[in-house]
Amino acid sequence: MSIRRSVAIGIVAVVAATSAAACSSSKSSGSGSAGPKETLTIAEWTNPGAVDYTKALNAQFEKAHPNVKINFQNTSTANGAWGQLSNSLLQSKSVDVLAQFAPTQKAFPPSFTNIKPGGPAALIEAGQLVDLKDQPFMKNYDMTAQQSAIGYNGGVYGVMAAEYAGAGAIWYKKDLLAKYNMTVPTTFSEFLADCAKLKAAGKTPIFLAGKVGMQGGIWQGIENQTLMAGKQPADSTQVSSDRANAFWNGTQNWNNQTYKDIGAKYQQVMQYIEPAAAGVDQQTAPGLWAVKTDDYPFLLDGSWDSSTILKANPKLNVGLFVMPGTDNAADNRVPVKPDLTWVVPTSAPHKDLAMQWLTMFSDPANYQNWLKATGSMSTEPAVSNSGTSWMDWLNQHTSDSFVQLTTPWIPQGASNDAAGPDYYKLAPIGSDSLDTILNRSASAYTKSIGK
Amino acid sequence: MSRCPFGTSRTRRFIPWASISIPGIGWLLFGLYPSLATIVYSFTQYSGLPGTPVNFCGFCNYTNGFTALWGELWPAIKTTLIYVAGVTILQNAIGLGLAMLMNRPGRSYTFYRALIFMPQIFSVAVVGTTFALILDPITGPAETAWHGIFHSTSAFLGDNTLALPLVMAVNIWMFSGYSMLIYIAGLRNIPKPVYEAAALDGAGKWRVFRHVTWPLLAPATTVNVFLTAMGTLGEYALILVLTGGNFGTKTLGLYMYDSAFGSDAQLGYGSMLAILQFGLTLVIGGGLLWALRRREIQL
Amino acid sequence: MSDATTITALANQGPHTPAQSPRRQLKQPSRVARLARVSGRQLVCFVIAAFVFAAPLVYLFLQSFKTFTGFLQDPTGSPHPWTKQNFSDAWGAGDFGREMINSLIYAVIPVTITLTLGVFLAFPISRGWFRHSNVLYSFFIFSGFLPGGLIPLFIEARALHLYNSMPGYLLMVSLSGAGFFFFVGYIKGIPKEIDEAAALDGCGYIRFIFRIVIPQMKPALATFAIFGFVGSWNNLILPLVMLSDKSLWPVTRGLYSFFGENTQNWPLIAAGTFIVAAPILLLFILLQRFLVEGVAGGAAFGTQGVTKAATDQGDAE
Repeated sequence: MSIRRSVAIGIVAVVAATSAAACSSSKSSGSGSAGPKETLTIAEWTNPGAVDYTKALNAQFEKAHPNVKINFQNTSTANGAWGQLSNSLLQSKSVDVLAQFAPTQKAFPPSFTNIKPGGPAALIEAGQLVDLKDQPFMKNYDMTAQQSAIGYNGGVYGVMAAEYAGAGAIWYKKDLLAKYNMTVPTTFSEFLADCAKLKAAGKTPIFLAGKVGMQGGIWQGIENQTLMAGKQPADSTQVSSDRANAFWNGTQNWNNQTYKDIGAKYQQVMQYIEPAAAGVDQQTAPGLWAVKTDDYPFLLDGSWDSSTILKANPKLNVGLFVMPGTDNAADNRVPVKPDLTWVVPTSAPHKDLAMQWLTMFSDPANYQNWLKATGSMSTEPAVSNSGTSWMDWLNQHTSDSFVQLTTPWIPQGASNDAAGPDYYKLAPIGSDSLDTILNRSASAYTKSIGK
Repeated sequence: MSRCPFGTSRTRRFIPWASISIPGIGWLLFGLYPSLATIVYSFTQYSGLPGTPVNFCGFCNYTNGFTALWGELWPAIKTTLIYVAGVTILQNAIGLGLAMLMNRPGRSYTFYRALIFMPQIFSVAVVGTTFALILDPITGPAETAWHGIFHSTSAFLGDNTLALPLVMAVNIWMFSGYSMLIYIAGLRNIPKPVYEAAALDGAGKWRVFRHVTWPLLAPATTVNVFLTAMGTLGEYALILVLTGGNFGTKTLGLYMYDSAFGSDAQLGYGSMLAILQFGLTLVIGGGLLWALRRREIQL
Repeated sequence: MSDATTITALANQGPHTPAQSPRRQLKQPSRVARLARVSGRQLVCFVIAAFVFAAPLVYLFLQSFKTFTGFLQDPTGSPHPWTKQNFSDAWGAGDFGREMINSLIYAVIPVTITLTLGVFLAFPISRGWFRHSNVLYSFFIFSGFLPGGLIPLFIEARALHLYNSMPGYLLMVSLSGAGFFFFVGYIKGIPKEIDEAAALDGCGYIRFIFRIVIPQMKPALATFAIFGFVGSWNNLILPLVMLSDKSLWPVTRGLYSFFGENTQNWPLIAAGTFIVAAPILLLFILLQRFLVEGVAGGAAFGTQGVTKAATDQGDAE
C-alpha cells in the first residue's frame, strides 16, 4: 500500500518536474532571441559588504549600457567553494572580470630557486591574464602598490582594489577603554600593562576566533613591526625579498633569535585571551564581541569585518588600531595586506566591456563607496576612506603604513611548517612549546630547499 | 555462465550487451574516465588552473609524500585509522543497542525510529552548522552543561584532545540510525522458533543474546561494519565544516581535499593522496570482508 | 500475466514480513507488570529519540525564530521576541522558488534514469550471462571507490557541450550514477525460473524488465530512490562547477551564496537552511514509515549481495 502510494507520488513529481523543465527551457531560449544583449560575467568571493556594493555598481553599469546584462557570480570561500567556482569559470572561458587574492611578489621567486608559481601568479606566467598597465583607469591607482601586489616583468595584471589592516589589527570598545582611563596603547609594554589592568578589573582583555587561527595575527603583527623597525615604509618589498634570500642561502631560519623573541612576545599577549578562544568560530566572534559591551575590550580581527560588527550592534562605539609590537612607538606602524584584486582573463569574451566596468569601478566617487562598504584602505591616492568613525586611528596612521611582509620562498611540495610556525600547535592554543615549533619549522624549511 | 533466454536465436547473444551498453558507456565516460585522469595527474606537478603547464614528474609526488612530507602524511593516516576504527565500532555498538531497543511493533516505535534516522537526510553543511552552534564555547548549550558539571570552560572543537572524539560523535549521531535499521533487518531475519527453543532451555536474557541473537546477526554485522568503515574512510566534508581539519582532526580525505583545492592548490599531490586513499580502502575493505565472512562461516 | 502472482510469491523474501516482538513469546508476565515495562521502555526510547537525536535539529530550528540581536544577546534561550521575519527574508533574498523547481528536476530525473539503467546493467551481470560476470562485478564495485576527478570531469563536460546546460547536467548525473551494484545481490533473490517462464511466454526482454523485474524490486528501488533524491538535493559542488547561469541553479547553490552573504546572522541562516530542507523533510515525513522499513529490508539485503560477490569473486556461477 505505502509502496504504491510512494510510487504514485514519485510519478507525480516526475511529471511536474518534466513539465517544469519544458517551461524553463522554452523561457531561456526565448530570452536568448529577444535582442542583441551581451552578458558581462563578473565573479567574486562572498564578502557581504563587497557583494552588496558590486551589485549596486552592476545595476549602475546596466543602466549606462542598456544592451548589457551582468551575470554576477559569488560564493563563499568556505569549503573550497570559491576556488571551484573561479576555476570552472576560467576553464570555461566565460568570465570577464574575476576577483583574485593579490599574489604579491613572493609568488614570483627568482629563477635560481626553480620554484614554479602557483595560484594567480601561475595564471600570469602562463599568459592567462590581461596586462592592465596601460589602461587609463590605472592612473587612478598608486602604481607602486599595484606593482607590488600583482606586477610581473613590468606588467600589471590586475587592479588591487582592497587592502586591509590584518596583521595585529585590533578592534576596541572606546567606552570601555575610557572607563579605565586608557588611550590606544603606543608601545608593546603599554599594551601589556593595559591588558593586565583590565584583567585585574575582572575583564577578559582579548577575544578572538582561535578555531580559524586568528591568533596568527598577533604573531604577524609583532613580526612585521620588528622586521621593519627603522626601515622606510616603501622598503617593505625589499625587506621581504632580503629575508627570502637570507632563508634561501641558509643564513637565516625560523629558529633564529629574532623569531624566538617574537614568539616570546606572542605568548605574553596570548595569556590575556579568552580561555576558550580556541573553539570560537569566526562566524560568531565579531557579532558576539559586539554585543558584550561590558567585557572583551579588544577583538583581534581584520578591518574587513567592520560591517558585521556594526550590524550586530549599531550603537557600539568602536575603533580599530594595530597592536604595537615593539617598544619603540615610531616603529609600530600599520602593516597592510593586499587583498581583492580584479583581473581580466585573456579568454574573456567581452574585454572592452570589462575595461569599461573597471573604469566605472575606479571612478573616485564610486571607489569611495566601495571603501565604505568594505572597510578597505584606499589604493587610490586621491580617495581616502574617511567619514567612518571607527577609522579615526587608522586614518592618522595610513601615511606611514607599509605593505605586509611576505614569507620566504617555499618550494612546491614543502611541508606547511616550512612557511613558519603553526599557530594551532603552538602553546597556549596547542600544546607544543615555542622551541619545538620553531625547530620544526626550521628543519622543514631546510629540508624543503634541499640543503 | 548461464544463457540469456530472451530473444530469438539470432538476437540472444546481443541482448546482454545491449542491456549494459547505455549505462556501461555512461559509466566509462563520467565515472571511470575522470578517475583514470586522477591517476594520471598523480604523476604530475600541476596546479589545476587552466592554461598552466602540466609537468610530468614520475613518482615525485609519491616519493615526496613518503619522505619530506611524511611528517604530515603519517599523522593524517593515523587519524584516519583512529577515526575509522572508532566510528565503526561505536556506531555499530550504538546501532545494535538501538535496534534491540526499538525493534518493536507500534506507531510510537515507528516514530522513534524515524527520529533517529532523520539526521542523515540533512546535508553535512546543516549538521555542521547545528553543532557549531551547540558546541560554541561561549554561547552554546554544551558550554552551559560543561560548566555545570566540571565548573570549568572547554574549547570543545578547538580542544586538542576533545576535537577528534567530538567530530566522531557527530558522525555517529548522524549515521547510527542507518546502522540501527540494518540491525533491525537482521533481527527480523532470525526465525522465531530459535527463540522459542532457547526459552524452552531456560536461557536468560544475556545468554539468549550472546548465543542466539549475536551469532545470527552476523550477516547484518558484516554489512554494517563494511559500510560504516568504507563510508568513514573517505570522510572529509563533516570534518571540514566542524574543525577545518585542525586540532588533530586532519584525516587523509581532508588532507587530500586541502592539497587539491586549498589556498595553494597542488592537484598533482592531491591526486596522489586520492590514489593512496584508494589503496587504503582496498586494503581495509578487502581485509574486513575476508575477516567478516570467515567469522560468519565460523559462527 | 497469469503467473504474476506465483512469481511474486516465489520472490517474496523473509525480511519484508514484519515480525512479532520475539520476547512476548518467552514469558507471560502479569498485565500490570507488562504495562509498566512497556511504558518504561517507551520512555527510554522516547528520551533517546527526542533528546539525543532530534534535539540538536530542534535547537537549530528554534534559532530561526530569533532576531539577530535577540540571538546574540541570548543564544541558548528560547526566542524572545518570536519573529517569522527570517523566513520571509530568506525566501526573498534568494530566488528560492525557481531554485526549488530546478532542484526537483535535478533530483527526480537523474534518480529515475539511474535506477532504471541500473537494473538493465545489474540484471545480466547478476544472471551471469557474461563469461566473467563475477570479475566484471567485482571490478565495478571497487571502481566505485576510485577517486572521482572533478577537474577532468569538468574539462570533459566542456568538450561534450554539457557545461552550463540543464539537459547536459541531467545527462551527466544520470549516467555517472553507479549505485547499481546494490541491485545485483537483490536480483539474485529473484528466481531464475521466472526468466525462463517469461521467455517461453514470448515476453520481450525490455518488457520483462519493466513489467516483472522492476515491480519485484520495489523496496530496493524505492530505498535507493530516496537516498538518491536526498543526495542530489544536497549536492553542492557539482552544480557549483557545472552550472554558471543563475536560472539553472539548484537551491543548494543559492543557499550557499546566501550563507556567505549572511555569515554572522545565524537566525537567518537557520531559516534559510530549513526552507531548503523542508521538501526533503516533507518527503521524509510522507515516506518515513516505508523508508525505515524499506531500508531495513531492501538495503541490507542488497548489500549482502555486495559483500558476498566481493568475497566470492572467482567462483563460477
